[in-house]
Amino acid sequence: MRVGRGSHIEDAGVATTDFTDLYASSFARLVGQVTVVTADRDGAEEAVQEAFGRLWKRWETVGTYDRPEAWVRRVAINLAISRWRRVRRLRPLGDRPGVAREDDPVLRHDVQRALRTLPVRQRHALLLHHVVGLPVADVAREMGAPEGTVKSWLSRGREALQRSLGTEEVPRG
Amino acid sequence: MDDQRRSDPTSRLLTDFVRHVSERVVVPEFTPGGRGARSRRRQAPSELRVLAAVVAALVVIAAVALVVAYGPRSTRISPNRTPATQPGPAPTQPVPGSTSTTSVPAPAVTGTRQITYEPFTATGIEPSLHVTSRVTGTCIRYGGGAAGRFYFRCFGTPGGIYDPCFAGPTSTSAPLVCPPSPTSVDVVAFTVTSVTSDEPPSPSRTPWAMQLSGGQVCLLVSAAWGGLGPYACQPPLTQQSVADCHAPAASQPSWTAACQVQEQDASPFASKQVTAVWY
Repeated sequence: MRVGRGSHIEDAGVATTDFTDLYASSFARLVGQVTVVTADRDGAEEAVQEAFGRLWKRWETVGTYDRPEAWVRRVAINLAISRWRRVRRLRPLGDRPGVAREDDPVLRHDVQRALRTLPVRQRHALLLHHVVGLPVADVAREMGAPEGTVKSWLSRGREALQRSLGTEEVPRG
Repeated sequence: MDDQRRSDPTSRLLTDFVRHVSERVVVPEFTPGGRGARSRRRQAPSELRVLAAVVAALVVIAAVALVVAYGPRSTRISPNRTPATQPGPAPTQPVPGSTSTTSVPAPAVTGTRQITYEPFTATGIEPSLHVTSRVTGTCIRYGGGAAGRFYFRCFGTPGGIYDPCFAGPTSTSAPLVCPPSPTSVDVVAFTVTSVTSDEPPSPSRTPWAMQLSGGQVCLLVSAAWGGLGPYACQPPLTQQSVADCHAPAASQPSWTAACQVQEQDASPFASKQVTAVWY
């Protein structure tokens, strides 16, 4: 399945075949997407940067994939989660002391706080389904989980966001 | 599907969040700070393909010549199985900063060298190593090395991730040494501003690099990523090369590792002989 193009938040797709172009065109978007999982922009930037470092070394192979940006996103998310696992005894994901950006109102946004209340798997599923636009079956394949589990994560994630944000009912997407 | 997503409140909420974050990201100039990429110039993919083809052809010619000249006439070399007696590159000699391990208890195997990477002398960085750049930033300390020593995963300012890095006799008060591979004499000197983990050394030793029988060097990526890795293999890219491997297993007569040709879930794993591991 190819994710539709033309949207700010979707994959660049096969049109971006050059490493430099892919980096320039997708770095910021990927940081935004990974931030949904990390709830921490700095952590997301580090993960995306490292993922591109890995892509650099493997461009000969990964550059031939249909959607190398999806590869980078997957690696970046896994790197971010892995790093979180390593330091989680010290602090929860998205709660990094000393990294608040006072010049960046987004980081004080309610959404970020709400995301931090969600388990990382739910954030990951919400990102892939509601931002990247993958159907549940593809989300399940990418996350290595049964479809029913993914549906549960999505449902609970939406409900938790609703509770945290105190908004109107967030319907099932 | 796009229209449906745009009308879905959850999608709108999250995509707006992503857009807000993305618009505030200053895209840094790409500098391949990741290991392996630091010490080599970027080549065009077509050039790499030509180079890989030439290398593969030379390897095949050399192998055929050796078999014809010295091999038993009854030997058959299956494309999917490498006989243990097939001539292959010897393990790469360690750089001067490395020493073969003799004091650390090792599994009783032959054919796989266990090498402790020692980039320091008593007075500082091993003189034969060439410091190509100096970076400052924070590090995460993690265990798994030989003799209970730590590896360090370091994050440069403003960017670049260096992993693993090694501390000298004075721990992190002096710059760490971050090699792009165990066989490189070019290293990065990393000055640590803070260490953000207090993990004890892991009781199980984990090599940070290994060399396969084909000569490929694979580096531990201290991150889990699905069912792939965690050892990412470096070029040269040949028909026999692999993309990533699981951790090596101490088996007889030499260590082996399950490796796959492509970093894709569907890519099958095959057992590869390991000629050397570095701690």
